[in-house]
Amino acid sequence: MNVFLIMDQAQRVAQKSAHMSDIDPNGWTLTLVSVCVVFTALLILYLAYSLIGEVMVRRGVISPKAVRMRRKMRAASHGDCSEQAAIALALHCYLIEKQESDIHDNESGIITITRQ
Amino acid sequence: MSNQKEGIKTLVERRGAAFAGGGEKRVAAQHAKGKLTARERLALLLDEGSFEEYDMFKQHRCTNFSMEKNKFDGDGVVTGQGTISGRQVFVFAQDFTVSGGSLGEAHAQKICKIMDMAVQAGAPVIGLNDSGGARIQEGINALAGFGEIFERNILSSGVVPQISGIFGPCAGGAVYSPALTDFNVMIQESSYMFLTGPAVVKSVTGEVVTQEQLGGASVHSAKSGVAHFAAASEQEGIQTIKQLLGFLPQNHTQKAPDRPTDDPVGRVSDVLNDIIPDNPNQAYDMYGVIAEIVDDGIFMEVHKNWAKNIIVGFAHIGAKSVGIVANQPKMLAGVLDINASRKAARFVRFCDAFNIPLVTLVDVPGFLCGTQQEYGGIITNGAKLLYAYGEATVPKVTVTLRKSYGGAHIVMSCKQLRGDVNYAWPSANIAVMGAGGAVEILYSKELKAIEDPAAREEFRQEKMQEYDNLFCNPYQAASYGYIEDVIEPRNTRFRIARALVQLQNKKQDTPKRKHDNLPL
Repeated sequence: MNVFLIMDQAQRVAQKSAHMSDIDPNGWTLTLVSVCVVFTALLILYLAYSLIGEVMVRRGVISPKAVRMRRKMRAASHGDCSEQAAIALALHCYLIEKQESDIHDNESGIITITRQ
Repeated sequence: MSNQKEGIKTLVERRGAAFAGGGEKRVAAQHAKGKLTARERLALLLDEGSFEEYDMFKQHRCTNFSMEKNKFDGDGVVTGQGTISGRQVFVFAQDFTVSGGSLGEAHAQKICKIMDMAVQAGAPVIGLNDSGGARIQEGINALAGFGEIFERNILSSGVVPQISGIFGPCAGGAVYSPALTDFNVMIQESSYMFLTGPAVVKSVTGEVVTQEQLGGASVHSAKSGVAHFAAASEQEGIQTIKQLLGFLPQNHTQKAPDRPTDDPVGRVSDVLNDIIPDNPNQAYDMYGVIAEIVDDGIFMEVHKNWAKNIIVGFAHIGAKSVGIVANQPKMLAGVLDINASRKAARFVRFCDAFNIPLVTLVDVPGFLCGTQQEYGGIITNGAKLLYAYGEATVPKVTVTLRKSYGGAHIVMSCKQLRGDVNYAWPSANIAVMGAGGAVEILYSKELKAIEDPAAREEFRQEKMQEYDNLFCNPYQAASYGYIEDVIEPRNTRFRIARALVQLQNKKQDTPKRKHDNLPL
């Protein structure tokens, strides 16, 4: 009985596939529809999270100041990179100098003669 | 009451009277001046319960000016022996409350007795001076008493350490006893040392001057160098004496006691790697170097305010007592002058006399020039330091930090003066003179021949660089064996400590003679 049902299902899928290939021989429509579905889902998720964030700020669960700080940092990181470049260069120079200053004429540091 | 009990009662009464000194009124007057009595000073100086007094009942036998009616037990000085941190010392303390602490025959005999005992026992002598001077009534006997004391100061010199605390007036001939001792501690505002007081000075020269200006602690610790330490109070002065003794042996046949420490001998000091400035004309603080190499950073400086261009003092390195001599670049660029030479020479000779190893830190560009120095005898005085180092047979460890030029290089414990271990930092410049001066001499004709100032300067710089590369580094001296090693600055403490232990059994002789003829 199950075998007949599966065979019947398969026949219907084949019929629909043939119908699809008639309507959309290159698959553009299918691609477009599936992309739209994905992006719609993402949009709905984004709106949902934003809404939840706003609700939580309004209810005082997250402080507005923290939100502003995060937004500021985000903006800054997308702005002028010269500050980061200067920091990176300074770190590089410091590490090089440290490496050079770590060259030492090492001594044993122990006196083995018996003191009298 | 039995005769014995009567005798004991008399003894206790007489002892009580002797303890009272000059009486309550005079003791109060002493306290009112901010001064302690002789017995109070000794109580602070010595370990509790250790003091044994001698000649408490000694009296003068003068009959001039009816003095026989005015006798006092002890005759104005408290003498005896005790311990400081468990180490035996012989002490005398002049009692200003008794006859002004004036010195007569009996007074001098008491002091001479404990000095003789100190030499026989091989223990230091500490004298606390607070006296109005010679007892005029006793006449020539007072002067003879002084003479006896001075002779013993001389005969004890270099045998046992002698320390003088000046806790009040010390005038006239009396000043020569402290002058002959190894160290003088003076108290600000209450102690004075001068040969002739302000009244006589005014009558002879017309100068108007106070006791403090003429011979106070600030004068003698900063201008004349007579005082080695100037304390703000008597308590501080006594503490100074006790601290000083911790660095010294009991006598010339012994070594100073070790001071155990948790400060590791192998401790490295990265600070020293950066302490020498790149600019050779820029000063740095030698105290910073000393603090890094000594145990626990503890350094007892001698003559702190006199001839500041050289630093001398005691410390421990690897638990061993050492004498440190170091040029101070922050003061007169560390040059040697008359006072610096005298200061260091006396210190070096003291250390040599009492088996205290010498550690010398060198950064000396030369001797101070000028007519004042030449007319003042910089030659003779520089020779004193040269002589002192050359004569010394104690272990001598020298580290050249930066400049070491010309005659000053030789004077500052160079290899040829029997320096045992000589190290140099990579920044050391050991040369006859600096590059600037040398180029002017070596290339004077060439420099004169160049007319263009810019070209002349370029030539000068080029030659200075050649001179620097050849001479102004430690490797030329190292190539001749004049220094044992070039060491990294941060390892200085360890290298010095190890050298001192390597030299702990050093034995060195000088030719036998009656005595030397040090250029005085």
